[in-house]
Amino acid sequence: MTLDPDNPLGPLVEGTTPTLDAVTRDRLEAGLRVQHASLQPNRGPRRAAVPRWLVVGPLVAVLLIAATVGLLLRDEAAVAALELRDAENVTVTLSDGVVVVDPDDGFALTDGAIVVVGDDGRVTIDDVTLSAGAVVTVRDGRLVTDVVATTTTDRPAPRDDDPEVVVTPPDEVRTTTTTTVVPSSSRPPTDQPPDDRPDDPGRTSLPPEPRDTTPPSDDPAPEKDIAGTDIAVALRIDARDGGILVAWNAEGLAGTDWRVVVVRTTDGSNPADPASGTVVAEGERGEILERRADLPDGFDALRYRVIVLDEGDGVVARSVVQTFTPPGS
Amino acid sequence: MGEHSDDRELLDERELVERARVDADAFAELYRLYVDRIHTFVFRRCGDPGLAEDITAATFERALRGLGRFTWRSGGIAPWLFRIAANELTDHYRRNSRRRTDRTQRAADRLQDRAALDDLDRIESADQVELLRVALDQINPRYQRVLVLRYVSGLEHEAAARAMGVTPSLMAVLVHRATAALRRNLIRGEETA
Repeated sequence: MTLDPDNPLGPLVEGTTPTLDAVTRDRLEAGLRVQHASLQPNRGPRRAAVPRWLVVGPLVAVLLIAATVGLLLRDEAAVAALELRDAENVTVTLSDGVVVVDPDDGFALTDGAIVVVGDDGRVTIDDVTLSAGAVVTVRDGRLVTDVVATTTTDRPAPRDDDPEVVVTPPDEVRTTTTTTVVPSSSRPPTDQPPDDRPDDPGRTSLPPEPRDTTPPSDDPAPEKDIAGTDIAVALRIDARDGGILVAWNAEGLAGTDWRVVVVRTTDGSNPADPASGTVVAEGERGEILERRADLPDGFDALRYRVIVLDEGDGVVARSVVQTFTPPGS
Repeated sequence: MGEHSDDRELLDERELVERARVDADAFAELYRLYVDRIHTFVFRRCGDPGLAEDITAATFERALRGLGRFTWRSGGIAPWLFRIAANELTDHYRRNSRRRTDRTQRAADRLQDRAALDDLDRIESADQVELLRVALDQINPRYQRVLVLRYVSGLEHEAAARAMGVTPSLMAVLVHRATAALRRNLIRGEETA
Protein backbone atom coordinates (compact mmCIF):
# COMPACT_ATOMS: atom_id res chain seq x y z
CA MET A 1 0.00 0.00 0.00
CA THR A 2 1.47 3.35 -0.99
CA LEU A 3 0.71 6.68 0.58
CA ASP A 4 -0.28 9.67 -1.44
CA PRO A 5 2.19 12.33 -0.26
CA ASP A 6 -0.42 15.04 -0.81
CA ASN A 7 -3.03 13.27 1.26
CA PRO A 8 -1.74 10.21 3.10
CA LEU A 9 -5.10 9.64 4.81
CA GLY A 10 -7.09 9.86 1.59
CA PRO A 11 -8.58 6.36 1.91
CA LEU A 12 -10.18 7.33 5.23
CA VAL A 13 -11.96 10.25 3.60
CA GLU A 14 -13.07 8.51 0.43
CA GLY A 15 -15.60 6.13 1.96
CA THR A 16 -19.18 7.00 2.73
CA THR A 17 -19.90 8.36 6.17
CA PRO A 18 -23.13 7.56 7.99
CA THR A 19 -24.88 10.65 9.27
CA LEU A 20 -26.24 11.05 12.76
CA ASP A 21 -29.88 10.14 12.76
CA ALA A 22 -32.36 12.81 13.75
CA VAL A 23 -33.31 11.12 17.01
CA THR A 24 -29.71 10.92 18.21
CA ARG A 25 -29.03 14.46 17.08
CA ASP A 26 -32.06 15.81 18.93
CA ARG A 27 -31.23 13.80 22.02
CA LEU A 28 -27.71 15.18 22.15
CA GLU A 29 -29.08 18.67 21.71
CA ALA A 30 -31.59 18.17 24.52
CA GLY A 31 -28.82 16.98 26.83
CA LEU A 32 -26.68 19.97 25.94
CA ARG A 33 -29.55 22.35 26.62
CA VAL A 34 -30.02 20.89 30.08
CA GLN A 35 -26.32 21.14 30.79
CA HIS A 36 -26.28 24.69 29.51
CA ALA A 37 -29.06 25.64 31.92
CA SER A 38 -27.19 24.12 34.84
CA LEU A 39 -23.99 26.00 33.98
CA GLN A 40 -25.58 29.42 33.80
CA PRO A 41 -24.89 30.59 37.36
CA ASN A 42 -21.17 30.38 36.60
CA ARG A 43 -21.39 32.15 33.27
CA GLY A 44 -21.83 35.63 31.92
CA PRO A 45 -19.62 38.42 30.71
CA ARG A 46 -17.25 39.96 33.20
CA ARG A 47 -18.36 43.25 34.61
CA ALA A 48 -16.21 46.29 34.97
CA ALA A 49 -14.33 46.49 38.24
CA VAL A 50 -16.09 48.47 40.96
CA PRO A 51 -14.71 49.62 44.30
CA ARG A 52 -14.72 46.75 46.74
CA TRP A 53 -16.60 48.64 49.44
CA LEU A 54 -19.47 49.16 47.04
CA VAL A 55 -19.83 45.42 46.79
CA VAL A 56 -18.88 44.26 50.26
CA GLY A 57 -21.12 46.65 52.22
CA PRO A 58 -24.41 45.79 50.55
CA LEU A 59 -23.38 42.15 50.38
CA VAL A 60 -22.88 41.95 54.13
CA ALA A 61 -26.21 43.65 54.68
CA VAL A 62 -27.96 41.28 52.32
CA LEU A 63 -26.34 38.28 53.96
CA LEU A 64 -27.44 39.46 57.41
CA ILE A 65 -30.99 39.96 56.22
CA ALA A 66 -31.00 36.61 54.47
CA ALA A 67 -29.69 34.86 57.56
CA THR A 68 -32.36 36.49 59.70
CA VAL A 69 -35.13 35.63 57.29
CA GLY A 70 -33.73 32.13 56.98
CA LEU A 71 -33.87 31.64 60.73
CA LEU A 72 -37.41 32.92 60.87
CA LEU A 73 -38.60 30.64 58.10
CA ARG A 74 -36.54 27.67 59.14
CA ASP A 75 -39.43 25.74 60.55
CA GLU A 76 -41.62 26.39 57.56
CA ALA A 77 -39.33 25.37 54.74
CA ALA A 78 -35.63 24.71 54.87
CA VAL A 79 -35.16 25.31 51.16
CA ALA A 80 -37.63 26.82 48.72
CA ALA A 81 -38.59 23.81 46.67
CA LEU A 82 -38.56 23.91 42.90
CA GLU A 83 -41.99 23.61 41.40
CA LEU A 84 -42.85 21.58 38.39
CA ARG A 85 -45.59 22.24 35.85
CA ASP A 86 -46.84 21.18 32.42
CA ALA A 87 -45.50 17.67 32.90
CA GLU A 88 -46.03 15.34 29.97
CA ASN A 89 -44.51 11.88 29.98
CA VAL A 90 -42.37 12.76 32.98
CA THR A 91 -41.23 10.49 35.78
CA VAL A 92 -40.02 11.85 39.07
CA THR A 93 -38.16 9.59 41.47
CA LEU A 94 -37.95 11.11 44.93
CA SER A 95 -35.03 10.53 47.22
CA ASP A 96 -37.05 8.08 49.30
CA GLY A 97 -37.69 5.92 46.22
CA VAL A 98 -41.25 7.06 45.57
CA VAL A 99 -41.91 7.30 41.85
CA VAL A 100 -44.47 9.81 40.54
CA VAL A 101 -45.54 9.81 36.91
CA ASP A 102 -46.70 13.08 35.33
CA PRO A 103 -47.08 15.02 38.57
CA ASP A 104 -49.65 17.79 38.77
CA ASP A 105 -48.74 21.43 38.36
CA GLY A 106 -47.14 22.82 41.47
CA PHE A 107 -45.58 19.53 42.49
CA ALA A 108 -42.61 20.37 44.73
CA LEU A 109 -39.29 18.80 43.88
CA THR A 110 -37.36 18.04 47.01
CA ASP A 111 -33.64 17.52 47.20
CA GLY A 112 -32.45 14.34 45.54
CA ALA A 113 -35.43 14.08 43.21
CA ILE A 114 -34.57 12.79 39.76
CA VAL A 115 -36.67 14.04 36.85
CA VAL A 116 -36.72 11.98 33.67
CA VAL A 117 -38.49 13.29 30.57
CA GLY A 118 -39.64 10.47 28.30
CA ASP A 119 -40.29 10.36 24.57
CA ASP A 120 -42.23 13.35 23.27
CA GLY A 121 -42.41 14.59 26.83
CA ARG A 122 -41.63 17.93 28.37
CA VAL A 123 -41.81 19.71 31.67
CA THR A 124 -41.15 23.15 33.07
CA ILE A 125 -39.32 23.55 36.35
CA ASP A 126 -39.29 27.15 37.48
CA ASP A 127 -38.02 28.91 34.38
CA VAL A 128 -36.33 25.94 32.76
CA THR A 129 -38.19 23.86 30.20
CA LEU A 130 -36.86 20.38 29.67
CA SER A 131 -37.57 18.40 26.55
CA ALA A 132 -37.55 14.70 25.69
CA GLY A 133 -34.52 12.81 26.87
CA ALA A 134 -33.60 15.21 29.65
CA VAL A 135 -32.65 13.90 33.05
CA VAL A 136 -31.90 16.24 35.92
CA THR A 137 -31.40 15.97 39.65
CA VAL A 138 -32.42 18.49 42.29
CA ARG A 139 -29.59 19.28 44.62
CA ASP A 140 -29.49 22.12 47.13
CA GLY A 141 -32.56 23.61 45.53
CA ARG A 142 -30.98 23.70 42.08
CA LEU A 143 -31.21 21.61 38.96
CA VAL A 144 -27.99 19.80 38.24
CA THR A 145 -27.19 17.57 35.33
CA ASP A 146 -24.69 15.13 36.63
CA VAL A 147 -27.25 12.68 35.45
CA VAL A 148 -27.93 12.60 31.74
CA ALA A 149 -30.08 10.15 29.88
CA THR A 150 -28.52 8.03 27.23
CA THR A 151 -30.37 5.83 24.84
CA THR A 152 -28.92 3.27 22.55
CA THR A 153 -31.09 1.95 19.81
CA ASP A 154 -28.84 0.21 17.35
CA ARG A 155 -25.35 0.09 18.73
CA PRO A 156 -23.64 -3.28 18.68
CA ALA A 157 -22.62 -4.44 22.08
CA PRO A 158 -18.93 -4.11 22.95
CA ARG A 159 -17.05 -7.36 23.02
CA ASP A 160 -15.75 -8.80 26.20
CA ASP A 161 -12.12 -8.86 25.25
CA ASP A 162 -10.91 -10.10 28.57
CA PRO A 163 -11.66 -13.68 29.45
CA GLU A 164 -9.78 -13.31 32.71
CA VAL A 165 -12.35 -10.99 34.14
CA VAL A 166 -15.06 -12.84 35.97
CA VAL A 167 -18.06 -10.83 36.99
CA THR A 168 -20.30 -12.49 39.48
CA PRO A 169 -23.82 -11.16 39.27
CA PRO A 170 -25.23 -10.52 42.70
CA ASP A 171 -28.03 -12.68 43.95
CA GLU A 172 -30.12 -9.79 45.14
CA VAL A 173 -31.97 -7.78 42.57
CA ARG A 174 -31.49 -4.40 44.18
CA THR A 175 -28.83 -2.58 46.16
CA THR A 176 -26.51 -5.50 46.25
CA THR A 177 -22.76 -5.33 46.31
CA THR A 178 -20.37 -7.89 44.95
CA THR A 179 -16.78 -8.59 45.79
CA THR A 180 -15.50 -9.09 42.27
CA VAL A 181 -12.30 -7.18 41.61
CA VAL A 182 -10.69 -6.75 38.22
CA PRO A 183 -7.33 -8.52 38.24
CA SER A 184 -4.49 -6.09 37.72
CA SER A 185 -3.24 -8.17 34.81
CA SER A 186 -6.41 -7.46 32.91
CA ARG A 187 -6.06 -3.71 33.01
CA PRO A 188 -4.99 -1.85 29.92
CA PRO A 189 -1.28 -1.10 29.78
CA THR A 190 -0.34 2.48 30.54
CA ASP A 191 2.98 2.65 28.76
CA GLN A 192 1.92 5.17 26.18
CA PRO A 193 4.23 8.16 26.05
CA PRO A 194 2.91 11.30 27.68
CA ASP A 195 1.37 13.63 25.23
CA ASP A 196 1.84 17.36 25.05
CA ARG A 197 -1.50 19.00 24.91
CA PRO A 198 -2.47 22.17 23.15
CA ASP A 199 -4.07 24.71 25.39
CA ASP A 200 -7.54 23.32 25.11
CA PRO A 201 -9.44 25.28 27.72
CA GLY A 202 -11.74 22.41 28.43
CA ARG A 203 -8.71 20.21 28.85
CA THR A 204 -6.43 22.15 31.08
CA SER A 205 -8.70 23.86 33.51
CA LEU A 206 -11.46 21.40 34.15
CA PRO A 207 -11.57 18.40 36.42
CA PRO A 208 -11.54 15.03 34.67
CA GLU A 209 -14.64 14.69 32.58
CA PRO A 210 -16.66 11.55 32.31
CA ARG A 211 -16.48 10.23 28.80
CA ASP A 212 -18.06 7.49 26.90
CA THR A 213 -15.54 4.99 25.62
CA THR A 214 -17.16 2.31 23.56
CA PRO A 215 -14.19 0.33 22.28
CA PRO A 216 -13.82 -0.20 18.58
CA SER A 217 -15.01 -3.67 17.84
CA ASP A 218 -14.13 -5.65 14.75
CA ASP A 219 -16.37 -8.49 15.65
CA PRO A 220 -19.40 -7.11 17.40
CA ALA A 221 -21.97 -9.33 18.95
CA PRO A 222 -25.06 -9.88 16.84
CA GLU A 223 -27.21 -6.79 16.79
CA LYS A 224 -30.43 -6.96 18.71
CA ASP A 225 -33.57 -5.54 17.26
CA ILE A 226 -34.23 -2.90 19.83
CA ALA A 227 -35.27 -0.11 17.54
CA GLY A 228 -38.01 1.97 19.01
CA THR A 229 -36.93 1.45 22.58
CA ASP A 230 -36.44 4.47 24.75
CA ILE A 231 -34.44 3.85 27.84
CA ALA A 232 -33.42 6.64 30.15
CA VAL A 233 -30.67 5.87 32.61
CA ALA A 234 -29.70 8.18 35.45
CA LEU A 235 -26.82 7.94 37.88
CA ARG A 236 -25.72 10.10 40.78
CA ILE A 237 -22.84 9.74 43.20
CA ASP A 238 -22.31 11.70 46.40
CA ALA A 239 -19.39 11.63 48.77
CA ARG A 240 -20.50 10.82 52.29
CA ASP A 241 -18.59 10.47 55.54
CA GLY A 242 -18.83 6.73 55.46
CA GLY A 243 -18.15 6.30 51.76
CA ILE A 244 -19.81 7.01 48.45
CA LEU A 245 -23.54 7.05 47.93
CA VAL A 246 -24.50 5.66 44.53
CA ALA A 247 -28.08 6.22 43.34
CA TRP A 248 -29.45 5.18 39.99
CA ASN A 249 -32.67 4.85 38.06
CA ALA A 250 -33.53 3.27 34.73
CA GLU A 251 -36.76 4.00 32.88
CA GLY A 252 -38.34 2.45 29.85
CA LEU A 253 -37.63 -1.20 30.61
CA ALA A 254 -41.22 -2.28 31.10
CA GLY A 255 -42.02 -5.63 29.55
CA THR A 256 -38.42 -6.61 28.94
CA ASP A 257 -36.07 -9.06 30.59
CA TRP A 258 -33.21 -6.64 30.51
CA ARG A 259 -30.84 -6.31 33.40
CA VAL A 260 -29.51 -3.10 34.92
CA VAL A 261 -26.10 -3.15 36.58
CA VAL A 262 -23.91 -0.51 38.16
CA VAL A 263 -20.28 -1.01 37.21
CA ARG A 264 -17.28 0.56 38.92
CA THR A 265 -13.68 0.81 37.76
CA THR A 266 -10.68 1.86 39.83
CA ASP A 267 -7.98 2.11 37.16
CA GLY A 268 -9.12 5.35 35.53
CA SER A 269 -10.81 3.67 32.58
CA ASN A 270 -14.48 4.20 31.81
CA PRO A 271 -16.74 1.23 32.45
CA ALA A 272 -17.92 0.04 29.05
CA ASP A 273 -19.52 -3.24 30.01
CA PRO A 274 -19.73 -5.41 33.14
CA ALA A 275 -16.42 -7.07 32.34
CA SER A 276 -14.57 -3.77 32.28
CA GLY A 277 -14.90 -3.29 36.02
CA THR A 278 -16.75 -4.47 39.08
CA VAL A 279 -20.51 -4.80 39.24
CA VAL A 280 -21.42 -3.11 42.50
CA ALA A 281 -25.20 -3.26 42.28
CA GLU A 282 -28.05 -4.51 40.19
CA GLY A 283 -31.67 -3.49 39.71
CA GLU A 284 -33.75 -0.95 37.85
CA ARG A 285 -33.27 1.64 40.55
CA GLY A 286 -31.82 1.91 43.97
CA GLU A 287 -29.23 3.43 46.21
CA ILE A 288 -26.19 1.90 47.87
CA LEU A 289 -23.44 3.16 50.10
CA GLU A 290 -20.03 1.96 49.04
CA ARG A 291 -18.28 1.94 52.37
CA ARG A 292 -14.86 3.57 52.35
CA ALA A 293 -13.41 0.65 54.27
CA ASP A 294 -14.49 -1.74 51.53
CA LEU A 295 -12.98 0.22 48.65
CA PRO A 296 -9.68 -0.96 47.16
CA ASP A 297 -6.52 0.80 48.28
CA GLY A 298 -4.52 3.15 46.11
CA PHE A 299 -7.06 4.15 43.50
CA ASP A 300 -6.80 7.52 41.78
CA ALA A 301 -10.44 7.75 40.86
CA LEU A 302 -13.53 5.63 40.98
CA ARG A 303 -15.70 5.65 37.89
CA TYR A 304 -19.29 4.47 37.91
CA ARG A 305 -21.73 3.78 35.13
CA VAL A 306 -25.16 2.24 34.88
CA ILE A 307 -25.39 -0.30 32.07
CA VAL A 308 -28.53 -1.96 30.72
CA LEU A 309 -27.98 -5.48 29.38
CA ASP A 310 -30.23 -7.65 27.27
CA GLU A 311 -30.80 -11.37 27.76
CA GLY A 312 -27.51 -12.18 26.05
CA ASP A 313 -25.61 -9.66 28.18
CA GLY A 314 -25.33 -7.30 25.22
CA VAL A 315 -25.18 -3.64 26.13
CA VAL A 316 -28.47 -1.91 25.38
CA ALA A 317 -27.94 1.47 27.04
CA ARG A 318 -25.54 3.20 29.34
CA SER A 319 -25.52 6.26 31.56
CA VAL A 320 -22.78 8.84 31.51
CA VAL A 321 -19.77 8.04 33.64
CA GLN A 322 -19.62 9.56 37.12
CA THR A 323 -16.19 9.99 38.64
CA PHE A 324 -15.23 10.21 42.29
CA THR A 325 -11.76 11.54 42.95
CA PRO A 326 -10.54 11.24 46.51
CA PRO A 327 -9.28 14.43 48.14
CA GLY A 328 -5.60 15.04 47.59
CA SER A 329 -5.21 13.01 44.41
CA MET B 1 -16.75 39.05 -2.79
CA GLY B 2 -16.02 35.64 -1.35
CA GLU B 3 -13.65 37.14 1.18
CA HIS B 4 -16.27 39.64 2.33
CA SER B 5 -18.78 36.84 2.60
CA ASP B 6 -16.36 34.84 4.76
CA ASP B 7 -15.77 37.86 6.96
CA ARG B 8 -19.50 38.33 7.35
CA GLU B 9 -19.94 34.68 8.31
CA LEU B 10 -17.17 34.93 10.86
CA LEU B 11 -18.74 38.03 12.36
CA ASP B 12 -22.05 36.22 12.61
CA GLU B 13 -20.37 33.21 14.13
CA ARG B 14 -18.53 35.37 16.64
CA GLU B 15 -21.80 36.92 17.68
CA LEU B 16 -23.33 33.46 17.92
CA VAL B 17 -20.48 32.23 20.11
CA GLU B 18 -20.89 35.21 22.43
CA ARG B 19 -24.58 34.52 22.78
CA ALA B 20 -23.98 30.81 23.19
CA ARG B 21 -22.11 31.48 26.42
CA VAL B 22 -25.37 32.52 28.07
CA ASP B 23 -28.11 31.37 25.74
CA ALA B 24 -28.96 27.70 25.29
CA ASP B 25 -30.70 28.38 21.97
CA ALA B 26 -27.57 29.98 20.58
CA PHE B 27 -25.47 27.08 21.77
CA ALA B 28 -27.92 24.69 20.16
CA GLU B 29 -27.55 26.63 16.91
CA LEU B 30 -23.78 26.37 17.17
CA TYR B 31 -24.15 22.65 17.81
CA ARG B 32 -26.36 22.21 14.76
CA LEU B 33 -23.85 24.14 12.65
CA TYR B 34 -20.99 21.85 13.51
CA VAL B 35 -22.36 18.51 14.64
CA ASP B 36 -22.23 16.91 11.21
CA ARG B 37 -18.69 18.07 10.50
CA ILE B 38 -17.46 16.86 13.85
CA HIS B 39 -19.28 13.55 13.54
CA THR B 40 -17.93 12.97 10.03
CA PHE B 41 -14.42 13.80 11.20
CA VAL B 42 -14.64 11.40 14.13
CA PHE B 43 -16.22 8.61 12.12
CA ARG B 44 -13.61 8.81 9.40
CA ARG B 45 -10.92 8.47 12.00
CA CYS B 46 -12.43 5.60 13.99
CA GLY B 47 -14.77 3.86 11.54
CA ASP B 48 -17.15 2.88 14.34
CA PRO B 49 -20.63 4.50 14.28
CA GLY B 50 -21.27 3.99 18.00
CA LEU B 51 -17.90 5.33 19.03
CA ALA B 52 -18.25 8.26 16.63
CA GLU B 53 -21.57 9.14 18.26
CA ASP B 54 -20.08 8.93 21.74
CA ILE B 55 -17.04 11.04 20.90
CA THR B 56 -19.16 13.60 19.09
CA ALA B 57 -21.33 13.93 22.19
CA ALA B 58 -18.29 14.18 24.46
CA THR B 59 -16.82 16.86 22.19
CA PHE B 60 -19.82 19.13 22.47
CA GLU B 61 -20.20 18.53 26.19
CA ARG B 62 -16.59 19.56 26.68
CA ALA B 63 -17.03 22.52 24.38
CA LEU B 64 -20.03 23.65 26.40
CA ARG B 65 -18.07 23.48 29.62
CA GLY B 66 -15.07 25.23 28.11
CA LEU B 67 -16.95 27.89 26.17
CA GLY B 68 -16.73 30.40 29.00
CA ARG B 69 -12.96 30.39 28.62
CA PHE B 70 -12.86 30.21 24.84
CA THR B 71 -11.03 33.14 23.32
CA TRP B 72 -12.09 34.15 19.85
CA ARG B 73 -9.38 33.93 17.22
CA SER B 74 -9.35 34.47 13.50
CA GLY B 75 -10.67 31.41 11.79
CA GLY B 76 -13.58 31.05 14.13
CA ILE B 77 -14.54 28.34 16.52
CA ALA B 78 -14.07 25.39 14.14
CA PRO B 79 -10.37 24.77 14.91
CA TRP B 80 -11.16 24.78 18.62
CA LEU B 81 -13.98 22.25 18.20
CA PHE B 82 -11.86 19.99 16.02
CA ARG B 83 -9.03 20.19 18.54
CA ILE B 84 -11.35 18.99 21.29
CA ALA B 85 -12.60 16.16 19.06
CA ALA B 86 -9.03 15.17 18.15
CA ASN B 87 -8.08 15.14 21.82
CA GLU B 88 -11.08 12.96 22.62
CA LEU B 89 -10.02 10.54 19.90
CA THR B 90 -6.45 10.44 21.14
CA ASP B 91 -7.62 9.85 24.68
CA HIS B 92 -9.82 7.03 23.51
CA TYR B 93 -7.04 5.24 21.67
CA ARG B 94 -4.61 5.74 24.51
CA ARG B 95 -7.02 4.22 27.00
CA ASN B 96 -7.71 1.31 24.70
CA SER B 97 -4.16 0.58 23.67
CA ARG B 98 -4.47 -3.08 24.63
CA ARG B 99 -7.55 -3.49 22.49
CA ARG B 100 -5.75 -1.63 19.77
CA THR B 101 -3.08 -4.34 19.75
CA ASP B 102 -5.81 -6.93 19.39
CA ARG B 103 -7.26 -4.95 16.52
CA THR B 104 -3.86 -4.84 14.86
CA GLN B 105 -3.59 -8.59 15.08
CA ARG B 106 -7.11 -9.14 13.81
CA ALA B 107 -6.49 -6.85 10.85
CA ALA B 108 -3.33 -8.78 10.02
CA ASP B 109 -5.15 -12.11 10.42
CA ARG B 110 -7.88 -11.00 8.07
CA LEU B 111 -5.35 -9.97 5.48
CA GLN B 112 -3.62 -13.35 5.71
CA ASP B 113 -6.90 -15.20 5.35
CA ARG B 114 -7.86 -13.19 2.34
CA ALA B 115 -4.43 -13.60 0.78
CA ALA B 116 -4.72 -17.34 1.12
CA LEU B 117 -7.95 -17.36 -0.81
CA ASP B 118 -7.47 -14.68 -3.42
CA ASP B 119 -4.80 -12.73 -5.14
CA LEU B 120 -3.45 -9.82 -3.20
CA ASP B 121 -4.78 -7.61 -5.97
CA ARG B 122 -8.29 -8.41 -4.89
CA ILE B 123 -7.92 -7.22 -1.36
CA GLU B 124 -10.78 -4.89 -0.75
CA SER B 125 -10.11 -1.25 -0.17
CA ALA B 126 -11.85 -1.68 3.16
CA ASP B 127 -8.88 -3.70 4.33
CA GLN B 128 -6.56 -0.95 3.22
CA VAL B 129 -8.55 1.54 5.21
CA GLU B 130 -8.34 -0.75 8.22
CA LEU B 131 -4.59 -1.16 7.77
CA LEU B 132 -4.25 2.59 7.52
CA ARG B 133 -6.23 3.08 10.72
CA VAL B 134 -4.12 0.50 12.50
CA ALA B 135 -0.92 2.17 11.32
CA LEU B 136 -2.33 5.49 12.47
CA ASP B 137 -3.19 4.04 15.87
CA GLN B 138 0.43 3.10 16.38
CA ILE B 139 2.16 6.38 15.79
CA ASN B 140 2.80 9.05 18.41
CA PRO B 141 -0.53 10.53 19.59
CA ARG B 142 0.61 14.00 18.64
CA TYR B 143 1.37 12.86 15.12
CA GLN B 144 -2.06 11.23 15.00
CA ARG B 145 -3.66 14.57 15.78
CA VAL B 146 -1.51 16.35 13.24
CA LEU B 147 -2.55 14.03 10.44
CA VAL B 148 -6.24 13.82 11.21
CA LEU B 149 -6.58 17.54 11.74
CA ARG B 150 -4.75 18.23 8.49
CA TYR B 151 -6.27 15.55 6.26
CA VAL B 152 -9.50 14.29 7.82
CA SER B 153 -11.08 17.36 9.41
CA GLY B 154 -11.41 19.32 6.20
CA LEU B 155 -9.64 22.27 7.80
CA GLU B 156 -7.20 24.26 5.69
CA HIS B 157 -3.54 24.13 6.63
CA GLU B 158 -3.60 27.32 8.71
CA ALA B 159 -6.80 26.38 10.49
CA ALA B 160 -5.38 22.92 11.21
CA ALA B 161 -2.27 24.58 12.62
CA ARG B 162 -4.48 26.72 14.85
CA ALA B 163 -6.28 23.59 15.96
CA MET B 164 -2.94 22.05 16.88
CA GLY B 165 -1.82 25.23 18.60
CA VAL B 166 1.28 25.56 16.43
CA THR B 167 2.45 27.90 13.72
CA PRO B 168 1.75 26.97 10.10
CA SER B 169 5.44 26.41 9.44
CA LEU B 170 5.82 24.08 12.40
CA MET B 171 2.64 22.35 11.30
CA ALA B 172 4.26 21.63 7.93
CA VAL B 173 7.26 20.07 9.67
CA LEU B 174 5.01 18.00 11.91
CA VAL B 175 2.94 16.82 8.96
CA HIS B 176 6.10 15.71 7.18
CA ARG B 177 7.38 13.79 10.20
CA ALA B 178 3.99 12.29 10.95
CA THR B 179 3.60 11.10 7.36
CA ALA B 180 7.02 9.47 7.52
CA ALA B 181 6.10 7.72 10.77
CA LEU B 182 2.83 6.54 9.25
CA ARG B 183 4.65 5.18 6.20
CA ARG B 184 7.11 3.26 8.38
CA ASN B 185 4.25 1.70 10.33
CA LEU B 186 2.42 0.74 7.16
CA ILE B 187 5.49 -1.01 5.78
CA ARG B 188 5.97 -2.79 9.09
CA GLY B 189 2.32 -3.83 9.10
CA GLU B 190 2.50 -5.21 5.58
CA GLU B 191 5.63 -7.17 6.43
CA THR B 192 3.84 -8.67 9.43
CA ALA B 193 0.87 -9.58 7.30
